[in-house]
Amino acid sequence: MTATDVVDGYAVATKGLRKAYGHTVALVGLDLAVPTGVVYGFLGPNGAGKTTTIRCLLGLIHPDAGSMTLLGRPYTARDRHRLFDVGALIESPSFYPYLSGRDNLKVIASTGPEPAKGRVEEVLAVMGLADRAGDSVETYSLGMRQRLGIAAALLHDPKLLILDEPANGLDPAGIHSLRAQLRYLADTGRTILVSSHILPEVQQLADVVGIIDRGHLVHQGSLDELLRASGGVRVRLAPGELERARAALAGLAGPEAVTDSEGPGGEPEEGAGWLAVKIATERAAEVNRALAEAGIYASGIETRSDLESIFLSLTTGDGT
Amino acid sequence: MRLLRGELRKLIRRPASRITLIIQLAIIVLIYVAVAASYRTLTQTTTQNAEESRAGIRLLLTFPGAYAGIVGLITQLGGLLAIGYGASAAGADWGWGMVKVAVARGESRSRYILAKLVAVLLMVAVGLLITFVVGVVVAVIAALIAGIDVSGLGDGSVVGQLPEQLLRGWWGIAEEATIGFAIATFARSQLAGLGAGIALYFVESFSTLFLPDIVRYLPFHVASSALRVTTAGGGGGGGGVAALDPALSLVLVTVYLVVAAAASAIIIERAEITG
Repeated sequence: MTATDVVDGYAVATKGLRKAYGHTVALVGLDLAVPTGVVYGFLGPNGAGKTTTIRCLLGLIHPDAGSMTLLGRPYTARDRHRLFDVGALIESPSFYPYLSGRDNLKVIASTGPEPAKGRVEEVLAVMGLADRAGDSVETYSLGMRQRLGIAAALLHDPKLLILDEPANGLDPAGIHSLRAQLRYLADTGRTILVSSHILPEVQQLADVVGIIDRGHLVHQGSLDELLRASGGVRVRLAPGELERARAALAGLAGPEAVTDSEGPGGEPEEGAGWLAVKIATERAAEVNRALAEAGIYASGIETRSDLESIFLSLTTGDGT
Repeated sequence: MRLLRGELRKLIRRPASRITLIIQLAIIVLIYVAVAASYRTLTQTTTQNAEESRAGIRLLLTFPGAYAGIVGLITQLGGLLAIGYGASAAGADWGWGMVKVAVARGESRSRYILAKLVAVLLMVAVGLLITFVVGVVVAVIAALIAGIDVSGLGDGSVVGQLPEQLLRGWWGIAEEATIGFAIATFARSQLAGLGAGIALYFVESFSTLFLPDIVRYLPFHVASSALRVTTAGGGGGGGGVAALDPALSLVLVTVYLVVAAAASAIIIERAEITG
């Protein structure tokens, strides 16, 4: 990719992005591709390079090598105006503690792009902070600061939102409200890149995920496809039928795809055995049919496709 | 202008602005109250020393000469406070993570830091004016308590020179504030900036004992020399150092101010913002 390339269809794209802090290499040729108009879940263990990537995208640090495009245009640290279309919440939200929420937004609005008139009050209302807008930020809870941070990111109505752990400190109602808000923003054509530790939250929100580990992108693609391809089916059987069932299912999915499994609570179940089949969840009916054709009737069948187990299998798994 | 307005909004509401002003005002009030009280005490003694002291105090409280004393006092004291104030304004933005917010919004780094510096210097100017007015009022009250005539208060020839004197004083303080600002920008910490700025101030003062010919060209001494034309022996820590020509001092003050401001801009342009 050259500096003059325009990458259509992608809100964010990086090619060979590399960044080292002294002898510690944080990014090793990262190739990120965030399609326009989606919610992109950016996942990775601690120290994987998520925040470094975000800092590069926001012009806070200078990459050692590689190229970036933002909203379809090449982007370097000199192209700061490109960030006029980007709203960001970086790590923990930052504010002047002695100023009110409203005054903080006014001060933030004095930098970068000029927001529309009345926009400060609008975003305060959207984020449910209108009642406390006149109070100083030092009296705010963590969740309120988080919402104020998102309000600040929305000030200039950006086309691309980059949110680092936006659900931090939010209560369930706040998370629900945030999810609805982000979904609405995505549905109105905005692109949202969310870095999060809360995998079930990302699973509910994201259209596309990118999983980074030790500075490399280890997976990128549609979340639905990932869940379908990486999920599994578990069947509950009488103990005496386990070996015959194993053979029947091995014929369907291959012998290495069939393993013993625990019961639903993660404990062995008295009077029943469980087998796990590593197969796309949408093929659960084929599993049932293979057992029936072998004269085996499962007393239970369940599909399993959670992002957390996929995440752990793709990364070093020492955290999120 | 939008950026400057935002910076002024921050500084006007910042507790450090009020605290710095209150410290300056409190010290000036205390000094003049102490001077007036001393004068009254000295009038009850008739020793040679007491008479000399009374003469000194009369000089300090008799207008129009008292104006020079007030300007000298507020600029000397203000210079030290300005180092801290400049450091506080620049360093706090790093501490509170607001630099990254501005940069991530696409704001020009150097424009941001220079707007902040201009706002600091404007606040210093306002503080200087308030302190001067309060200083005059307190000096008049002190003179009245001491029973000294204040009829020279409206002396046109001296009052007419006050704007220039205050402007010179402000420019010297502005240089000192800018140095504190630049150190805090480099250190990314208001405490480090404050400590290093004040340490530098005193190191320069103590260096007069060993390197007087060099020290008189250093930042805090040239700021003092620029004031010295307006005051009777004012100036920060100039001890036994011969003052520079005031015009040369002003040029050097400007050079130091511009260099410190440019250094702040270059530092922030090159900074990797990771905090």
